Amino acid sequence: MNFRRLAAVARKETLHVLRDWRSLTLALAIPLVLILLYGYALTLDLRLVPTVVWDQSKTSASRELIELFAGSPYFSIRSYRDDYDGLQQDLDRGAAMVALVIPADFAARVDAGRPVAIQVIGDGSDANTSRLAMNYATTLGAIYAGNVAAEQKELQGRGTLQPAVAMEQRSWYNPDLRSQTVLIPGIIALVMVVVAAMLTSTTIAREWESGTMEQLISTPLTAPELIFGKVVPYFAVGMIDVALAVLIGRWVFAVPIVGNAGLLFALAALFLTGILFFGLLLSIRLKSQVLANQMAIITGFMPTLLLSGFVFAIENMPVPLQILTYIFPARYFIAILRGIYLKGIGLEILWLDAVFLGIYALIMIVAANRAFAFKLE
Amino acid sequence: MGPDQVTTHPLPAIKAEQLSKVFGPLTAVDGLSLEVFAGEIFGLVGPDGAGKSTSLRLLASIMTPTSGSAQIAGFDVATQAAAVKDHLAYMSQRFGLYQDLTVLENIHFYADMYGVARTGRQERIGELLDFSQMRPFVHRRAGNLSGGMKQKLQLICALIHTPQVLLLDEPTNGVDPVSRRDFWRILHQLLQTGVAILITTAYLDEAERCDRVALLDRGKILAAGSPDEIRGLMPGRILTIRSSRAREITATLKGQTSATAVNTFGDSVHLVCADIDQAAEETRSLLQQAAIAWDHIGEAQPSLEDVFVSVLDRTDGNAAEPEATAHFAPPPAAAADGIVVTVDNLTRRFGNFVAVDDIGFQVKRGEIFGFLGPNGAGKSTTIRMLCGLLRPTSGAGTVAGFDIRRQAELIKRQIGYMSQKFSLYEDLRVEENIDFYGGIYGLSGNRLERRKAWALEMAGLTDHRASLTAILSGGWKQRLALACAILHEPPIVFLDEPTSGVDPLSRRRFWNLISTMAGQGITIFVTTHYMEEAEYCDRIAMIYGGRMIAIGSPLELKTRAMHDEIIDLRCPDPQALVAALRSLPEVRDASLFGSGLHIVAADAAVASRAITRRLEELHTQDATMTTILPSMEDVFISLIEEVDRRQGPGDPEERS
Repeated sequence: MNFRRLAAVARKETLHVLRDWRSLTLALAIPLVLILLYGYALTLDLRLVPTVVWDQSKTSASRELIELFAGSPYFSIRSYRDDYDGLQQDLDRGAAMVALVIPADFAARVDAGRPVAIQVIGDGSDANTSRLAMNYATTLGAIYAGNVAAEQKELQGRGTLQPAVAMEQRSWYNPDLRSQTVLIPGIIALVMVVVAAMLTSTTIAREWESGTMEQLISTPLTAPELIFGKVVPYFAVGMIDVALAVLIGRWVFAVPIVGNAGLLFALAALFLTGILFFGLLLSIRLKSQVLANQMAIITGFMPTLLLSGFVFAIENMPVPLQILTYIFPARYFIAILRGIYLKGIGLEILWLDAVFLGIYALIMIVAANRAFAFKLE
Repeated sequence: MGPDQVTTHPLPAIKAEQLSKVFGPLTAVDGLSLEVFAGEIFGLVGPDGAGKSTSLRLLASIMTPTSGSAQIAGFDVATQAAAVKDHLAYMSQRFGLYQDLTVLENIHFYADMYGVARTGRQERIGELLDFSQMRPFVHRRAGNLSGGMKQKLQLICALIHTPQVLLLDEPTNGVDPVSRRDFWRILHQLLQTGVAILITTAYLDEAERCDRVALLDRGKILAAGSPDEIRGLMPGRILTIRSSRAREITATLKGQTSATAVNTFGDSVHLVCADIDQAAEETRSLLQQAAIAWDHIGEAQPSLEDVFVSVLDRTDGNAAEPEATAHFAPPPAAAADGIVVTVDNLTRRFGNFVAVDDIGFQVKRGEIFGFLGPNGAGKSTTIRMLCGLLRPTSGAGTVAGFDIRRQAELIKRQIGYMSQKFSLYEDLRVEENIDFYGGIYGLSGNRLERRKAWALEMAGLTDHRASLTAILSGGWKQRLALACAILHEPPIVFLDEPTSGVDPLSRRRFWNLISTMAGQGITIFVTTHYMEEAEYCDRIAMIYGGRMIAIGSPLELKTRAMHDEIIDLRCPDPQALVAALRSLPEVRDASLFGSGLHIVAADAAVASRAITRRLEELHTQDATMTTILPSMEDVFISLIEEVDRRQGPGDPEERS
């Protein structure tokens, strides 16, 4: 490997990057857009679920229960109905996702201390939200029941009620259970996959398409010199993107890095290397800018979104899919990012993930170099 | 290098032995053997698909041969690729440099690729920039250079490491004639430094400038030798008849004489015959019988193209591409005076750039009118305005009696248009392509069936109606494209660079077809950057920098429009004489041309005397001089230079 030639390729490629302002803008704008989009839109927190109520009881007791729902940050009472048809209409139209049906004998049974059932109907077409909403509803019901029991005890003059067992909840690493805190690290991985693969996927194909490759092959330049030289400027752009993502996470979404930022950037560089060479591999194999670019986005974006633990917990997937996740480096990187970002842990725990990232990068580097027959066919 | 190498004999700088390359069912290069020595320029000539580029790629070690071997500067291309690449420079056919980098950035990039040391690099670059006169443009982006300058830049990049071997793949394709000549001047200077040059070209006139030439067809060398030796291979001699009724003469003579071929070139008819006197006798009596007058009958020197065509014809046997004959329906009458296309003061600007500048001409019914000029001269812009696709900025024009500004839609029904790229769908069958174009032109029912049968017959594709278009040869595709373009029987046909990349034999047949069409009253409007092609036209407009610099028949242009004269000087070592002769005040220019020199002078008689004196001073013997008819390229260059002399040296490159 001749480093002067490698440097010349890197210099030339940097000029291309700087002069192609559209691609450069895109490379810097895409992370911004993705982070803002996912940061704001992809929230898994449940807030103000539209709720419809059929209060058959119409008593102070039932209103108390409804108040409890309305006062919580999770539900927003949108309408009151007097029959099932009305409820169904609201659910059908999506005007409500949860319906509460309070039976007519509610107050009487509560007063009598007899058990009473409240019907909670969820819109199952959005299974996640409705499951969460129903869980919250159950919790609110339990709170209400507890209040009632305590009240009655007090009324009966037997002092205050002390529950036998109380669950004191505390969520470590993310005390407020904000989903953004969990998602921002994942978004960084997503951004890197999309941008990096997009950047390098066109670069070799462009030389073929413009006819410059033939000329290059006729010079003493070797394939590794071309490949490594080409990666240099894109590596720089990729790392700028990482910094951009971290800064936006910090200042826009208030997600600070608990752990070692240096380690985060070092491992991001390792991950970036693997992805850049994956993009190059596509470019080398497909020899077409458009095709390679599309492939890069599809093969980078989808698995990172779905199979990396970014949104959907890997543990909940069927076993074959779980096995599949091991071949996508985003899985390891997201684990690393969350570890450093939220838990503040270091290589003493994350070393295995780091090793896997290293192996992936190595495989991609070797594969790209192997795939590149620096000859005309 | 084996011990049996004879040391007194110089080693060839380029050596190929039985080199072959097979792509699937196609043998692109079939047992190529050649040797090129230091200081020699060797031309590989042939049509597209003959295997020229593949041969060069094999030699440049950027493609692996299927069999055979080759050495560059003594290094094997298969096993010593690194050493080979250090000693050679290869220039690919497509522009291989980075358009978004400046001239200097490109040069430095290639200097780095070849590991040219930093010390002394500036001097080397300066030397090359001066040599190619590119210094004023060092900070311009390569993408903003004209075609000729791009080629020079590519050559600079190729020469940066002072290679011993230069492989050039059609370096002057589409470049304007002035830049082309400039490029050849540089090549000839390089030869003096001992570089061996192998160049491919589709221009047979360019091949005449080489020391040795090989005619390549279907991967095989048909003939090799100096241009003179190649000319000696011509199986017959050429009888030329000049007349204003050349097409009628061709029709009269075809099949009636002992000649093996009869071709029309504008106002001349060429007969290839074994016995020239007998043919001349037959011709005279036939023409007298038919009462056709002629200006001149005599023998003509065969061009390399003539040789190529006859050699190809012999090897082919040519049942493959039958000569197409067809009757073209007489077109509707044109204006009473027979003028079909009129253009007055036509101008088109794009922003500040004047693409077409005050052009005016008329084309008569049944005329083959050529629009000749380099890429970017304004040919396509003019055609687009004539076809009603583009509005002129100013000026007026009519096509088939319709105004090009207001009646564009009517014009489109009156014209047929065939573009350079043969707009056929390769994945459709021959018949399906015809159906498609028939549909576009609104043909249906009986008329479509009739025209389809006619098109198949005309293109000689009746037996191949169900073949996929992709598998047809270039000549066939060209005729099919023409058939599709004239399905609706237009009285005017526009052909945009119709024969680029077609082999000479197919080209000649194509022009015979065009000539027949014109004979039956169809008007043909052709654009070409191909100087040789202009010879087939009745009249030519030369266009350069958006302006029309001359108009007339080929003969008129050669005899009247061009004010300089050309002397062909044959002598033993022409290379050594170039500088000495160029310095003579009577000589405007001297350039190498094959085994001789072409000398441009204002007055051939005066110049001849001066040259003879100079040759005596230099003790050069065996020199012969003849004043020759200039080639179309000579005419073009001399006219361009006249324009430049009148206007002062402008920067024609600014145009692009």
